Amino acid sequence: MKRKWFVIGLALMMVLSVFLAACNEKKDGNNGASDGKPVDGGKITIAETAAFVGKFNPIMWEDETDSHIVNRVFEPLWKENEKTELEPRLAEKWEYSPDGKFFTIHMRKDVKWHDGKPITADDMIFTWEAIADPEYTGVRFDYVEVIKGAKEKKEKKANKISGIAKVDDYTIKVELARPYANFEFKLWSWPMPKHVFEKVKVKDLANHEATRTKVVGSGPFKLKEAKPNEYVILEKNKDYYRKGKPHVDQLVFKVLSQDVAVGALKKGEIDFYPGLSAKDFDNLKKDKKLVTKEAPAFTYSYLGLDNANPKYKDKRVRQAITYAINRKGIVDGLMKGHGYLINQHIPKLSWAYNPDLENAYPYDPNKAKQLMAQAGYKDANGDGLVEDPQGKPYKVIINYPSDSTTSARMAPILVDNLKKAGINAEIAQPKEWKTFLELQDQGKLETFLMAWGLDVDPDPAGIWRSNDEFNKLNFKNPENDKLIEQQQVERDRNKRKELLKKWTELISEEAPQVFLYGRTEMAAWNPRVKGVVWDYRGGLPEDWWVSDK
Amino acid sequence: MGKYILRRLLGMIPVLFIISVLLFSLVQAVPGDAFTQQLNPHVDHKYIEEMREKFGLDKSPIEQYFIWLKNFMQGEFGISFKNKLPVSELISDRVGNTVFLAVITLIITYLLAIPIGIYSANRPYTLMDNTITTFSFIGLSLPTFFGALLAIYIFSFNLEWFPSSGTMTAGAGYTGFRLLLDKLHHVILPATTLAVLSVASYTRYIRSSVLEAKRQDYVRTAYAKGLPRKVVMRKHVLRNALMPLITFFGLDLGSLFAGAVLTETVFTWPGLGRLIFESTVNRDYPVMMACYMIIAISILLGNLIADILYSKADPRVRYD
Repeated sequence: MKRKWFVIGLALMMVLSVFLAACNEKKDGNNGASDGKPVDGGKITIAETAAFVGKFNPIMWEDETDSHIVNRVFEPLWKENEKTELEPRLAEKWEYSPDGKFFTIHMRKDVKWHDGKPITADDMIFTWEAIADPEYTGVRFDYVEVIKGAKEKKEKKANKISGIAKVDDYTIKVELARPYANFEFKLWSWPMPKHVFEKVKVKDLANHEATRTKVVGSGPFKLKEAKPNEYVILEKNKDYYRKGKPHVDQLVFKVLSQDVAVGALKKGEIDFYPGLSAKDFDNLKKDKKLVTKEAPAFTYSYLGLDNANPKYKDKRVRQAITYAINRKGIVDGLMKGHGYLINQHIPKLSWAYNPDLENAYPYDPNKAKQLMAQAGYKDANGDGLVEDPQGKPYKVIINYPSDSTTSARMAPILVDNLKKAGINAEIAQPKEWKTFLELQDQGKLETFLMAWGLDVDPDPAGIWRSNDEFNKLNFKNPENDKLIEQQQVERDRNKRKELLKKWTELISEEAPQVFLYGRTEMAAWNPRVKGVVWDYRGGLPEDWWVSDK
Repeated sequence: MGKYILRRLLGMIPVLFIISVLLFSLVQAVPGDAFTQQLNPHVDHKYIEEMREKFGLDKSPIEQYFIWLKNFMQGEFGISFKNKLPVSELISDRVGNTVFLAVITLIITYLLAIPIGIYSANRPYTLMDNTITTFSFIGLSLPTFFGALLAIYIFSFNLEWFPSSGTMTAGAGYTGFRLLLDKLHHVILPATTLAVLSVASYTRYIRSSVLEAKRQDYVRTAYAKGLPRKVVMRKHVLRNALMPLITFFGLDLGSLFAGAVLTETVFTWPGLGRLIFESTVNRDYPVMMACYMIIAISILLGNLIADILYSKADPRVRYD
């Protein structure tokens, strides 16, 4: 499933992106290659720590747990590989026209829906049209808005998306709404079966039986039975076009509470437990009968600063705050090593990662003091804490959502770190999640401890441009906007990388937020499950097999 | 009696109306709505507004209330903002689960609490009575969450007597009597965990109630008439001592529907409790309102049933 950006609290992150984790190290656990020859048959039970909603439709699912099913039951045009690049699936190949205005998709001719009907260009076009329909209640429109004419359809100025041309049954030519270098990441690529949904009103898609129980998919597994609050059972699609997969006959996704899942895994009631908390992971790691693995994810935590607030308007103050926080201490101490230092919005796994920023902002309280002094913040009354340039008291207020236990433990550390650098700080009363977001929307939070879950493509648009709705930092910088616009249209990857490098360096220099640490995703499984590669994509059960010897 | 019940039922209408106004105002007063930062950063902000429009959140609260009321009176609970699924569908499954769990819990509670309470009262201040008292207090102070986990580790993981979660065996496809057995097998552990808590308080209550009744003059008279102990206990002591249980029963009946969030979570028992919690977190007003109204109605009905049972049990109480 194409991932979207997540606005998430630290605690919520544990629930989200369970299957969407990241990896490039293979130091502990199993890399899947040493497991010998795959064996067919058997059943694997996977733990889910949040219930399903039960909307198993590529364009209607909204909860992360539902996507675990959709990802197995449906097949996209292309899918990310271990190197964060796209690999052909339903599409054999795709190409831009030389002027970059058109994008042509060539689909495979040998793939069928689970009911035996062929998958064609019509299915893909039908899906895009449904998403652009004014009656559509889902959240995927941004992935279709990139096609010329989609906006007109949504705004009821047109009946069809004008930018789609069906060349033949397996070829589609799409006109871009504006030039994009990363169009294949921007475009919706998961078709739903036209022949099943043709007669269904778009607003009724969410509760249709073909979304809820009688799902006609295209992926390696078929939906056999769904009781969303308790379990979902998938069975092998014997006619899957990637020959030899999947290996197991049945996948059972069982909903369990976190506390029970640990015991159930040890007991053998479940075979695979993704999305572990650090505490459970450390506990299960001691169990020699289980395999555990941790992989870097596309999520990171940060302390946002309201750049429009006079308290954080001065770049030197923001830099000082970053220097003052002992981020390495947080990773090693608070996180017990389950995380890694970061200094940029682009994760290490990405091809666009800027290694030059690896050691930016080391913990340096003295440097923080110097910067504050340069900015005119001096300790006027001799209490060891600085006052603002007008001589009035200065205090950083740390805000965080109350459901995040990690933030609750981190906030006092931040306060302590800042005070050691001569900056007074205090923790605000934590706020309930939606209240927190509402206050943030109203610009009433001067700082906020939050996290981002990122897309595989490193495009910062949507969060970082001056006018982006999610630019809650109120970070306004013309150079920033220019670089983001330029990299969005630059199709030469090296040149785009260069632009993104400049952009990450600009952000590092401006320090509009404090990058705290990158997160990891942890999983544990019974060694009877073989062939597991646990990386940023999470587990891929179509590649697994079981060995009960 | 029929007239009385009818009068009571009619009297519920204005009460429910006031409750619904209060609930709706409270729900509206909470900051944020279902669509606060719900969409992802690529989406133009105006589409969030469009969503609010689609689900009627752009109207004034008073208008929203009357739209809700009109639909509610027609048995139409609306569409969940979060899931975009009909509220009635989200609720129907869970109501069944909640009631099933609660009824079994009540049965276990009464089966345990009444004999233990009477036993204790008949041998006050003995070693056994003190032991029961001690365990009652432990039971009372045991956090549900901890008790539930303990039960799972002992009875499902170690002894393997009961399944640790769910309401039925995944993929077994049982029907009829076999399905009922399977469900009972799954409900016993969560129900017993919940029952242990109430058994503790019920036992204390019954014990003191029986002790009190035994001191009454009519009991002494009964003994003086030469009635055997068993008859005195059954006809004179228990009949009076257990009367207050009817009040308890009425109250329990109401809270049945509220569910038990922690127990439901630990045992993955999809009931109303968890739904209420989640819908509140997500500001899913249609689901919240429907759940709260169900609880309000069941509490009112529970009280009515208790009053009716009272008049049956106690000839002094009459409603005419």
